[in-house]
Amino acid sequence: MLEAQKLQKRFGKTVAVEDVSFTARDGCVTALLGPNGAGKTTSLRMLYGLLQPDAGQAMVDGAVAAAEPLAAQRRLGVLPDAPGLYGRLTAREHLRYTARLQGLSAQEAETRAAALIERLDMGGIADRRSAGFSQGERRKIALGRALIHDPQNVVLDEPTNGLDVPSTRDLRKYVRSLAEAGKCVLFSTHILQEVSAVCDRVVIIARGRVVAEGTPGELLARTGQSNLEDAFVQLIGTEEGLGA
Amino acid sequence: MTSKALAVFAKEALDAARDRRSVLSALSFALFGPLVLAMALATIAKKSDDNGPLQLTVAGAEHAPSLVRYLEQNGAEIVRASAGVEPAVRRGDLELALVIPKDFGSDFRASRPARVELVHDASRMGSSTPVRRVERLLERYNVQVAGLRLTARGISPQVALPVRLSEIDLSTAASRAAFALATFPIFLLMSAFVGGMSVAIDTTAGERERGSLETLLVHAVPRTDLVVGKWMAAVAFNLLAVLLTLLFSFLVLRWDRLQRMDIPVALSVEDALRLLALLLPLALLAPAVQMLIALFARSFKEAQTQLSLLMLLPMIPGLLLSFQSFEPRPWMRAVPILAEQVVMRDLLYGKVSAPSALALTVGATLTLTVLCLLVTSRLLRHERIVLGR
Repeated sequence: MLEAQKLQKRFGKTVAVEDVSFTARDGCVTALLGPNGAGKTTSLRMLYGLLQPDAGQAMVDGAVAAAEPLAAQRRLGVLPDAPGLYGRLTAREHLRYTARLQGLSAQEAETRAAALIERLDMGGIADRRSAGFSQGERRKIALGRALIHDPQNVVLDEPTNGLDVPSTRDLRKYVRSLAEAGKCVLFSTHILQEVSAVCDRVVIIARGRVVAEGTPGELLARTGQSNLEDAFVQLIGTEEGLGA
Repeated sequence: MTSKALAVFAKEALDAARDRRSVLSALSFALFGPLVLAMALATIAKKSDDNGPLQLTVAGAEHAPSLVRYLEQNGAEIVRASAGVEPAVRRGDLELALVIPKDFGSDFRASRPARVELVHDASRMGSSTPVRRVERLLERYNVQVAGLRLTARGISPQVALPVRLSEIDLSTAASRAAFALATFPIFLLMSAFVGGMSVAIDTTAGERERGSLETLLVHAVPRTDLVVGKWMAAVAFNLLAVLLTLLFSFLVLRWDRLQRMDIPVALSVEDALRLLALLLPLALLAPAVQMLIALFARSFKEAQTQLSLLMLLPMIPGLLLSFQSFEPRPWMRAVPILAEQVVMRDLLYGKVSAPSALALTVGATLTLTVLCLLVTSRLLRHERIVLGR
């Protein structure tokens, strides 16, 4: 379970996150939906311990990220907005390295890497250096790295950004299967279709604040709109920064 | 040493070994230093050959038999040639040639200044020493003949010699070689800074520039493990460079041409090992400092520029120390980098430092290394450093 409690973060005079609270439950895909620049990435970075909140706290299965970052990070798999790959390493080497970083033994690392290569259908690129990989291939490696230690909680920052249609569909399917296996998945996006396609719950964030939280059905009922797009526009009060 | 730090080391070492830039920068410098040393020593070796016989081609020797005999008696090996030596000098086949014109004999006998021509090409570096030797011989011949002519006319030759200059050059091949050798510790020292520099930058500033630092930091890895692992990879490259530099220098100094010129520079195996022991702490320190500084740079390029400039800093005391008269102060033995140079200099002049002084030097260097690693680990918790803002 992932919890954000009254998170606040400013960079100099800019307030990136003003007041963000939400809960992402196990067995559920929770979307963090908001226009570009709403504070999604900053909120997630506080959750995975890269940034320290100015106020409030972020928790992973009860471990406060700012206070015990290692305990929180062990229970968390993260796909950051940039895949951050090493061009001179192969896909398998990336997975192996990540496994060792998460504390798996050399043998476990090998087995897990092989399993994920199979599961994410990376057999063709497993032993090639990543320098020339396509966006989709990179994203697969990054996802494999996030899941290498079989974490209970998974955070995905705009995971379908820059992916083509087949890759996007594969990824959504995979995200659903994680939730069905009882994992807690938190998924940031600015794309509305994504929400209806994979998410159980939606947290809408705009200008650094959570403006609504609930299932897509609840949000429709609350705004009296018939489709999610209109509901969303009404909730955030503008059409700015929205992807189709 | 934790298994996570080892995993970081293994990854960074593999990554760097596949990076041509890192490998080349470690290897090229290891060759560069000893090469410069070899060239400097070769120049000195050539200079010491100048005390050997002077080869002089003379055209028209038959016009001045007494002059030629004088030259032969004073150490010149005369090669007789027909006229037309100028083209040979121009082509570079001959270094220099003395041309004695037909009318030398009649002028000489009539006590008129008799002309001889010394043909050489001043744009050729190598010819200046033999030219000077021939000129000096001719001057002496002049004085001698002038003296005889004055005596024949009842005048003491002393009258015509207001000043007599005698030059005494005390420099020997050995002392000139010692000067070249004084720069040798600087090259050794630099090898400990250059070898791992590319790796140190690539794993810090480079990692952030490529956007992989954030991904790295979301893993449950203590920052110290990350820093130590990366540092070890840079150290490995450093050690490679230091070892190769020492090995090549060792070979240069054992070169048989140097042995023949009785220059007392042959590096013994024990001395080479002592130098290595001294360079080891430096090879540990350099990447620690470089990583710390590179973390503040905005990009790989910026870090590289800053660190290259910074590398010149420790070389300044090294240059000072290369003057024999400079006496190191006791406090210098506690300043990392400077202290190593003091000890290295002592070693090359045949002094072995006291164990307590060595312990102080090594201790100071290792302390600074640990300090740098700790500060770097702490910096990786700072948002500004991690996100590069």
